[in-house]
Amino acid sequence: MKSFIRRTMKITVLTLIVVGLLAPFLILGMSSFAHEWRWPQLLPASFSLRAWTVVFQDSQLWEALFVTAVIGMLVIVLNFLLGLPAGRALAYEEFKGKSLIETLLLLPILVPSLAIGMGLLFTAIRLGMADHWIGVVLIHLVPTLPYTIRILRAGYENIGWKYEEAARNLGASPFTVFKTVTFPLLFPSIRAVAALSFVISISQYVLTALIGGGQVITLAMIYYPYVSGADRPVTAAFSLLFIVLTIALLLMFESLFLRSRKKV
Amino acid sequence: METAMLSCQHLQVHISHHVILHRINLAVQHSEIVCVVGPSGCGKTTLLRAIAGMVPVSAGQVLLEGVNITRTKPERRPVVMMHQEALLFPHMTVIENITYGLKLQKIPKKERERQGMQMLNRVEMADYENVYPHALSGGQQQRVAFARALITKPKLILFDEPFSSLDPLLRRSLGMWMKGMLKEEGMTALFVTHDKEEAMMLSDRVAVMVEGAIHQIGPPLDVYQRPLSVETAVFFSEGMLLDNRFFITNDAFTITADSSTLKEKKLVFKGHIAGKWLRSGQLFYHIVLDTESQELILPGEATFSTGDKVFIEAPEQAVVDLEEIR
Amino acid sequence: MFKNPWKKCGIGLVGIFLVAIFAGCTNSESGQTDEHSENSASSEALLEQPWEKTEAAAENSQVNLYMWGGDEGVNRYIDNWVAPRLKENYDITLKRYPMDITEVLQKLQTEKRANKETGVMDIIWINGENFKNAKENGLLWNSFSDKLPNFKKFIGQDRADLQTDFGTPVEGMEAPWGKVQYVFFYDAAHIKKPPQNFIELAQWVKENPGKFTYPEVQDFTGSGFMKHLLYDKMGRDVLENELYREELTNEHGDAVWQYLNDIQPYLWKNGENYPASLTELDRLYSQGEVWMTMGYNEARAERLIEDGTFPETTKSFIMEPGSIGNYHFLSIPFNSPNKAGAMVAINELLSPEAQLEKMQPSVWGENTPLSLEKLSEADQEKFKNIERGDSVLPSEQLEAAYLNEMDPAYTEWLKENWMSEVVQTTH
Repeated sequence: MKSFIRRTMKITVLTLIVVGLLAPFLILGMSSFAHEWRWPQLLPASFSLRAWTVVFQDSQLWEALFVTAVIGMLVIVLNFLLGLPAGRALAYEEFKGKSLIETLLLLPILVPSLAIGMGLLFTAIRLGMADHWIGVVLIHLVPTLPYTIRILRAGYENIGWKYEEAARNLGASPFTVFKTVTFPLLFPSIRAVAALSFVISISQYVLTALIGGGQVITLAMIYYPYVSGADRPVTAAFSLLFIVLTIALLLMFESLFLRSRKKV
Repeated sequence: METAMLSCQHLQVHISHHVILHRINLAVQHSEIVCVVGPSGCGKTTLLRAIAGMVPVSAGQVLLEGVNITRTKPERRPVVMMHQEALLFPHMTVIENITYGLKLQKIPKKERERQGMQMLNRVEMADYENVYPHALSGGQQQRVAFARALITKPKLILFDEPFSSLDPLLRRSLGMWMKGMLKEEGMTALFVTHDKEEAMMLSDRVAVMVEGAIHQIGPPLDVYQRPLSVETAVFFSEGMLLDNRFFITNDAFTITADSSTLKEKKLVFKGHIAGKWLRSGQLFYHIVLDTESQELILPGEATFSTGDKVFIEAPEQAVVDLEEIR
Repeated sequence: MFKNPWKKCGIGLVGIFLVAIFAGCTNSESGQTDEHSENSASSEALLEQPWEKTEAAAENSQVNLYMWGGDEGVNRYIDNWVAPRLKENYDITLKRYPMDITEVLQKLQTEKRANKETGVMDIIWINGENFKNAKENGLLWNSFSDKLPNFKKFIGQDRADLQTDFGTPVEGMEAPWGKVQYVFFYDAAHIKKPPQNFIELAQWVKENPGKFTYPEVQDFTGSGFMKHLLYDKMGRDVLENELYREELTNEHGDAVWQYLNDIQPYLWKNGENYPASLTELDRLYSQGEVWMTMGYNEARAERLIEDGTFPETTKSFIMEPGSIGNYHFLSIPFNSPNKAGAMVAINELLSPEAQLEKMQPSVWGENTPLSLEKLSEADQEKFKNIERGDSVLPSEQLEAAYLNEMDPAYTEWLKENWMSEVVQTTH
């Protein structure tokens, strides 16, 4: 009897969690197909493909999807190239000005991106990187890198330097240490970084607009103007597109990791 | 004379302007086990790390079989270090951990596994081949770590207090077991510990290290009975230090109950019994001296009770003048 | 802890990253005045030369149009109707870039400071406050509209309602593209006869508590509602085409606040909350919580009805003393790389054909800035025959009720006082 109650409770809790997680997606999905969905109706009165037609008929959609994905992936790569050594240094090393750097790294998170964006646009124009996708990739480091460094730093601190030392001791070069020990142990943090920097990158509107000058059209450039309108189905459809893009990237990332694990 | 397996010559290490190691000279012969013993913070771990290549050496050199490896990268040194924690890679199974070093040497998989299994058998862990480290006990983890080090056939194994996180009983037995393995393999080893009993048990020779300098090297009993410096006397030997100069080792003392039996040419101190206990069938007394504000732990035959006034005496010739020796 | 080659490089890279950010932040000085480069010199000539030469110069070029991209009807109109037409008639490739005007102006501002003489934008969509800022900061190119044949022919420089854009003199720096009027929308399923003036509106609000509200003053539509109330309380003759006069607000201010306070308890949520934006009000309306909404663009309900967002029974009305209207414009930034192309494209957008297409309710639905009487009779007929939809009022009625935008200082006055006079008063 007791175990029956416990089992029922377990199932109830699980169901609640699953419903809680899936509900927003379901509602988004339903909104995107809804035609006349008025309060207090529980379900839309009728359905239509209009929102999706709008989304897929947008002349720039496919280009934007491609550009968004490529920029997002490059942002991930750069985040790793910069964040891994930086996170490691902050976790393991003591050096002058460490606390200053830590504080400064918080600033891009705290200061509104517009304030930074204007200044950086100026620099980007001087460097000839404005209105170009390279500039956009670099500018996306501003809102992503501080998070990346913090996550990776915590990851490194969690592992501790002793495993690296043990591996080097057994004859592994720094690169091999990274490949065989650090990377697998750091993978949870690395996955978090990939997901977070991708999501941040693809949802940048202001910075992309300023530095990309509108010449670089990402999904956010097409999507954001709709948010300010009253067209809920179209907004919902775009939101789902964002989610699909993110999930696709994460699946790709996961499969890459699994493959690399198999080789070890 | 045969070249030593390891030879540290005038080795100095600074870490941000602090002298951690002060002109260390230390030689370890082939198949010899040397224990560096000293209080915590004396720099003994840094010594191991300098030999392994993990801290930059500021002066002096490290020779391995006569070859200068002072500037060699850590992964190129045929030296393996073991730590207080086993540091088994948590994402690899026991067999993967053990064969990690072989894989780096590009030894084919079949051969790797053969050697790995052989080694697992030797460390009596054959049943745990595909187990992940978190499922092992502390002692088992250290045995696997030992196997992981041994399999790479290093010229020298460095041990940084490898048993200190284990419980006392396991510590002794694992220590003796490891010593046996090392001797069987003819392996050269440098241990570091703050536990002098462990040092005496494991090593062929001990080196007493205090504040970044080595004060005495020799067979454990020699060093215990004939300390050559105040530091060695205080840290490694056991006895009474007078005026920070004269030292009497514990084995020179006897405990008596009344002063009438006192003889000529003997030093006598008054004190009382603060506690007593048995260890390995021997009765020990914790004696607090009235005059010297010192405490001694001495074995004794007669049955005293806690609180009894006692006298302890030692022959005059047992007194060593440490300053004279220096 | 131990020596690692990554250490220096890690710290170094973070250093560079931070330096780059702060270099960017401190770069804000050095606003040099632009030296007149060859670009601007030759562009001056554009304004002198005959139109044929401009058309020839624009041939086989690309024109970048930067505009808000949040309306798929508008987007489709540009992409599928205007762009192919420009390609065919002038061999111009029109590319639309979705970007909000705020970012457009920020970008231009920064480019101005960085002395970037060749930018990327050729045409921007602008009006009101943004036009004022752009004009004052020298972000716009020149006075060009009276060089456009279609402007000269169908609009002309002397149109009284086009002399200022929300009080800022236009001076040819932008060309009118569309015209919208402020109307109210109601659900005819609940309301038989909409109010004719503010007194009737107040009565209706009190009879139907919770079914009316208006956006707060910070919202464009919210201040629009209150401007109509100003027209009602102060009178058309002192506001239209007149400068701000403080004694008017002193004299009539109380009447305005009294009206708003009077209806406040009967508003949606008892007037304790106001919608922050028109989007929010539209949502309340679309969900049936309130029975009225409002806004610029007399035809905007058509497509919302078609989408199913608004109920099919949605109709519109205007009240005494009238309906404020305004124009939105197209302009050319100071550093447009293709000013000739921009002029040709804007000219084409002002053609009767393009305006007629734009006015179709299925396309965009909004009114044209062209003076109908200047069109050919055939074209006039076409404009008159457009079926704008059941929710749109007849054009004669709208025309008759047209009120010009008042001096923006009145909006400022509303913004400064609404919060304390209306929201924070207790009843």
